[in-house]
Amino acid sequence: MKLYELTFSQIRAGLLEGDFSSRELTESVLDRVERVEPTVSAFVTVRDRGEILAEAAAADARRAAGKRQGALCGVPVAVKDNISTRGLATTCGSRMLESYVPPYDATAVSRLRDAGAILVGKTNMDEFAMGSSNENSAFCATHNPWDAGRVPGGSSGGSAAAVAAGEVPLALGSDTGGSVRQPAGFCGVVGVKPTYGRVSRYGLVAFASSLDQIGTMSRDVAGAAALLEAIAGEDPRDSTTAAEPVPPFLSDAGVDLKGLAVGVPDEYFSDGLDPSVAERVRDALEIIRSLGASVQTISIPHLRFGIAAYYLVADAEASANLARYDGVKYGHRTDHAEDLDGLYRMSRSEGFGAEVKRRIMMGTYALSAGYYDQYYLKAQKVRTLLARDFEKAFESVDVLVAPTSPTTAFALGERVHDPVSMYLSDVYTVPVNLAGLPALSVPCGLSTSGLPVGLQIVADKFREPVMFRVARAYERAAGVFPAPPGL
Amino acid sequence: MAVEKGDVEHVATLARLAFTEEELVAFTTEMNGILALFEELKEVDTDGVEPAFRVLRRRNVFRGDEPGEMLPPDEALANAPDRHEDAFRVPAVLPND
Amino acid sequence: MPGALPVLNEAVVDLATAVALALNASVADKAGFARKNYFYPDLPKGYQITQHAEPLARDGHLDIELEGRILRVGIHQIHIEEDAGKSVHSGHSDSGSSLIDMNRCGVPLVEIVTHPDLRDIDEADAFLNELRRILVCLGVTSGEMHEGSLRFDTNISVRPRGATEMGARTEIKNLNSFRAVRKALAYEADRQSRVLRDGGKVVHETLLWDGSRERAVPMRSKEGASDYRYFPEPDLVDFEIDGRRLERVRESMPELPGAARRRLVEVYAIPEYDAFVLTAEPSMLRLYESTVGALLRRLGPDAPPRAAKTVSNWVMVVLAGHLNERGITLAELSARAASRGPTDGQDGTSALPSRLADVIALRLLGEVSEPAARRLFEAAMESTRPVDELVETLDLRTVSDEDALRSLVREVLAAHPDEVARYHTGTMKLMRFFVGQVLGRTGGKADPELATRILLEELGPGGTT
Repeated sequence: MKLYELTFSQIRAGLLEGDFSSRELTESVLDRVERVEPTVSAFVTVRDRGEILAEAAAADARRAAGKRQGALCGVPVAVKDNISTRGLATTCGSRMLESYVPPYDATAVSRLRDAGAILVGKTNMDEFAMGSSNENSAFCATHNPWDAGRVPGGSSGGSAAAVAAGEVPLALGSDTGGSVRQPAGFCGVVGVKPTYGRVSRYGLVAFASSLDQIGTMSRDVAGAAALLEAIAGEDPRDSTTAAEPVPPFLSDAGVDLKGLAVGVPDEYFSDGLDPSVAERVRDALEIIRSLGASVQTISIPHLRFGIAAYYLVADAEASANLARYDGVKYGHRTDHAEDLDGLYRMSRSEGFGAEVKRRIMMGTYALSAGYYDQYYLKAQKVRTLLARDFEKAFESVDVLVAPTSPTTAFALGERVHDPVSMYLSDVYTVPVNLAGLPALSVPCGLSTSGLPVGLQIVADKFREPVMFRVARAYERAAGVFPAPPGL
Repeated sequence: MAVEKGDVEHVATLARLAFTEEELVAFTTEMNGILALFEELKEVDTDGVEPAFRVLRRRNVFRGDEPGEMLPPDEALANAPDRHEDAFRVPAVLPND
Repeated sequence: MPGALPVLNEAVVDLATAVALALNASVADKAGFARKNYFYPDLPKGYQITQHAEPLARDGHLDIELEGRILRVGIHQIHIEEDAGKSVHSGHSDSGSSLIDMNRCGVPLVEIVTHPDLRDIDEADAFLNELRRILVCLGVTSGEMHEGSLRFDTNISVRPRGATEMGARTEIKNLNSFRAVRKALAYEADRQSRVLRDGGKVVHETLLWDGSRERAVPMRSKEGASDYRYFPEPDLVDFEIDGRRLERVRESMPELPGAARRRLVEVYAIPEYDAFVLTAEPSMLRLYESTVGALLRRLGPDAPPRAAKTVSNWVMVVLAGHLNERGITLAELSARAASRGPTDGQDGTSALPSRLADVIALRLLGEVSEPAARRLFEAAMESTRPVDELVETLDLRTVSDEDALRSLVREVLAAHPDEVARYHTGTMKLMRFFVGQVLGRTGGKADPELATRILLEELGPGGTT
């Protein structure tokens, strides 16, 4: 077995036991990057090999000297390209920020550095995290490591593909409406979206501020949990982080699920659900039941309004968040402006891609005079109702289990010209963001066409531990999901 | 409720985006498709429901009245497309007279 | 920068609450922020964080005195928002471009919005002056308008005589002095009147005051059709102004200028005008009251009834002149005095008031003449030695030795036989000349009353022979 194929649990044990060094691991990972990037295109920027290896060697030296080391000491990590990294380009997959280099680190990144992680590079994404396929990147489309003709999902498609392809064991993504969970599902890796407020958004380039959360990806549940522990917790620079203490997300207690109540929301198994996805999810539920959990059907009546409410709220917030890109302080500036107004309009129109413009337009419209109540305010009220649906569900169950997406990875180009059909692929993930809940996607087998299927586990606010417990129990029973063959 | 090309142009002005005539026409159709999706919300009875602008029920998050870390001017301006000393340069804000 | 987030500074919440209380406004239990969306180069995020639906306070008022009447100006709202950058529109070589200084961006400020209750320039001026005094007193601003720490935006509309409806208004920004406010209001009232007289219509727009050319130029419209698309700011959480905060703010508030004025008139029996001047700055008021206190303690029951008024004169005339001549502030002078002299051990008064009181006491007791007292004051400001010692060292004590004075008087009369003759033929006003001569020969130390009495005795009756 090659080092790049190891899961985080194996890496942690191996580094601890001295089976291999961080430098050896990192070299294996970087070789893998070189080999598969021409096919996968998961990265926008890969850091200088020499610098990365020097950091790995430094981590080894720390370990050898018996010094205190962070939880991720010497572990290579990739970061989505909308999370600010000091001195390293942060493009958001946009022409607008093609040459933007942040002068500061996002809190999540500085915490990663404190934990000893080694930053390999920045991963490709749908422009400004708007998209579900990675096809909205201004630079290139990322390919699904399971089938290069298919999308990796989005918007954190680069991070998901990088982890699935063995280019890094761990990666950060961001999840505004499913952007960690959906690509994790499509690529057969574990993807976690924590409770809103669990992780600081400071330095995460804003898309929709009341929905955005940085999330984690790994081949195994333990990796996603460890990475989340490293970056979670209150941050004085983000007023919307929660004061709740960060517990260990994964305890060794409870290898079974006895006494746990699992709810299966009826509405998630509706018409649009691919039968072979439904089948894999039902198989997984059987395993969960066999581990001792009680499984019951529950209802999230407002689920089907989630998409409309989500896109209204997200686009409205985005229309303001993206107003700062005006060609004045940073980012693309047009060469074709005669006056200030022209500078704004041309810089923005040249710098943004079609989907970003679409969202800005929809959001601007939803907030404009005469439409605020009808669209934006209405959406925020529906959001309340949806959140209440979940509150009610969590009165009787510990977690909800459902499919992550209605389908498996679709073909490149299949939905790119039909925004509405693209939006509908988020139907199972957006309600969680609207309600601010934690959720993860864990792979639960292959569809009949041989593509990974994601199982979504949702918990009540700040109850990540129970969510991880179910995920790991399932993972132990079903086995860690394999890497894609033949890459 | 359908939008027309003129509405789209107005929104584009508010959003400071420029579209060609062709794009405007195409976008009007697209926007109506998305609005049809949004129209579904009309089915929901939201009388007496408070909007959920923020999911976090936290209040009174403050900072102290001390200066924090500051970026040196050169770093703050490093990404500027056009600068003059410690200022950003833009086409004249006021019309020339 | 992309990814940066705002955090609310607690100090601005307390300061804004103090402003609300001072302006008799009702403070909300819960307040929140919104985004106001518009594109402008000095607005780096493309929106301003401000308060819209949930401002900190509403519905206040401020009563001001103007020509003997009370004018009540309604306060619509008091809210917190972030400052924008500074556009430099002119004054650099390249006229085809503007420069934007972003250093001020994100700094919290308190905005006070009045009702349209001001009818003319004098009312506006009086209101803004009173408002400034209150804000400086509360410590909310230094009040230094040229530094931008206090700024006014004015809205103005003219109404033809007899009309009942208010006309369309224009807003003038960039007013950075009281003079600019007066000039801009006059300019714009005149412009609007002319537009109406010529049968035109006043357009609602925002103008920028160009101080160098004394005229208002239209800003490029901020938004095609102004539509700020306010919505709640998702990056900040709501804040509460609970009873505890209100109480804490209320207790920490100093006496406001209006109340201080009334108290000064009542307690010290000084004229309204003096009270107005003395309450312009909190430090001035403190100095005045400390000095009066120190003076009364020193003089005890012998203090003349005019002591408080004398101190007022000294502070407004002598001390103010001293500051003016040296181009220093009261704070600087106090600091200098404090660093030179120890604080008065007995009552804790700082060096400046107690030294000033010492000088005034000597004057009130007739120990020094007026000119001598002024010299003593200047010396006391430059020295650390006790005032009572200085008066001796500098030999400033009034000459009240009658024999010595009489011989001086005789010398003066002998030196001016012509004047003595004219005095006797009726030019009585020459008495002032003789007194001046006597004072001159004592270096201003002679007691003028005594000198006059001796002169009368020595000259004999005047104007009759």
